[in-house]
Amino acid sequence: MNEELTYTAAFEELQHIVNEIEQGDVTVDILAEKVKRASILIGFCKKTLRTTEEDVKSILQELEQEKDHEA
Amino acid sequence: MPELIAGKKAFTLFEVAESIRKVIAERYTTRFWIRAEMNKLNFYPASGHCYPELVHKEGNKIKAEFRSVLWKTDFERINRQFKILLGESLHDGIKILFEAGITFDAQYGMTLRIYDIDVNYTLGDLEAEKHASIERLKTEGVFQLNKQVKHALLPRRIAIISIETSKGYADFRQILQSQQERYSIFHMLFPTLLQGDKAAESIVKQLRRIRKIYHHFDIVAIIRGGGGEVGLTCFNHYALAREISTYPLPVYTGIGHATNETVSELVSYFNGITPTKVAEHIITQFETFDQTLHNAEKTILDYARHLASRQHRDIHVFGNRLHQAAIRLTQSQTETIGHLQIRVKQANRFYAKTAFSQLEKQQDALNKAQSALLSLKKADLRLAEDRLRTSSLNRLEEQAGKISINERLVHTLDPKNILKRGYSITLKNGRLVTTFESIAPDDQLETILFNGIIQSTVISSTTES
Repeated sequence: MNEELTYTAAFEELQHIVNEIEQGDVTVDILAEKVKRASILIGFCKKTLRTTEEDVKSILQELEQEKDHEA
Repeated sequence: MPELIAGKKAFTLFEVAESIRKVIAERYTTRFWIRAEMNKLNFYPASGHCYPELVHKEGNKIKAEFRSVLWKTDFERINRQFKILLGESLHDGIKILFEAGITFDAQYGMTLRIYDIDVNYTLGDLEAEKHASIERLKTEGVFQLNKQVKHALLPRRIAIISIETSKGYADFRQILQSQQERYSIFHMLFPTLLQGDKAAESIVKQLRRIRKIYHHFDIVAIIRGGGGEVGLTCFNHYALAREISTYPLPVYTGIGHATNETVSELVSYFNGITPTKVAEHIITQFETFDQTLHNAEKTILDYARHLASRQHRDIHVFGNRLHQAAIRLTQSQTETIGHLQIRVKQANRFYAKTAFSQLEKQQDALNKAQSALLSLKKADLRLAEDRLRTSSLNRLEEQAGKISINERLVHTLDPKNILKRGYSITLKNGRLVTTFESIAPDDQLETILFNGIIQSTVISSTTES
């Protein structure tokens, strides 16, 4: 869930930066820093488009444990 | 005709059956309409005939139960109407109003034959059930719940409720897999029954399993299809619809080509109608997100470029202004310096003149003073010279006087001169004799006179005293 939060947070932060930039709130002094941060966020978000780390086995295992727990 | 056997009037089985057949045939001369619940359709694919199991319930209690027949031709005609009007085939668990005839056959017994089924009645009943479900969910305040549930930024992990053999599931998977290069989507199948009365129950069961591990998933997709299969009525069931509406994850439905949405579809987060549409909707979200990222990238880049070029231009403009200002400043400074130079020259000239004349004056004064001093010194010198000369002469004279005195003195004192006057010098052994005591008889003495020396021997000596 942590990863999910970070990924949502990354996207929100990215949108925030883009808004700032579009509204012209960014000066040259901090532009480089913002662009650098944004590219990190974009990279991170793009990565989430291409990777999932769920494992059927572990899910089934967890499901079995739940059953045992019930019994 | 009955025979008397052991005093008893006995009929043959056939006679009884024939009697019943007659009574029934006389009593039930025409077809009539019956309403009942069709518990089971009992369709036999081999023959194409159906043997529907009919019940009449009051509450949960079965008050009547009957088996009926629906011959192949009648079934096919009725089924076509159902598909057109209801959007689905004739199936288990519906209420029907049917036209029937009752016959009795000696061999097959009582038969309730279905000639026709009023589709509108079933439709109405299903609609009524559907409305009842909707009303109940709304009363309970859960109808909109699933639509309000928090959706993940992307539906990356999908729990699929379907069946391996479903064409809809295959379509769905195929679309997701076609995007594998671009987007990685994890999905896992939770197989259920999708047909018949047990379908609703089976789906609910799987939904509850997934609920326990829902943190592994972003959405649940209920997938079913490949048109015109079995009825969708199970999706109007209250229990299933409620499970969906209160589900902690967004539920997507793609369960077929329904003309009217089922309750489950109405309460779901997203109803794509077909599995293909659901898959496309999922992909679209990835594409939108991708596009948003791309736009963000572009916006940032464009802005950075724009800002950079603006800064560049500004710097250029400022540079030019600076250059021109520098030139202007240099020019005006040069002018000022020129003016100052002229003024300095003029001032110099004036100052030099004044200074020169002052210098000349001073030189004159100095010269005068010098010559005055010089003549003064000359006079002094002359005076001093005179004095020197005078004093020197005096001294010389004085000295000359002194010398002549001394000359006379020295002349007087010369022993020779003294000896001339009759004095002599006595020596003993070369030494001057001055005292009497140093002389003894027989001493050899030398007496020096003015013009010679006398050698003598002492005979005696006497003192004056």
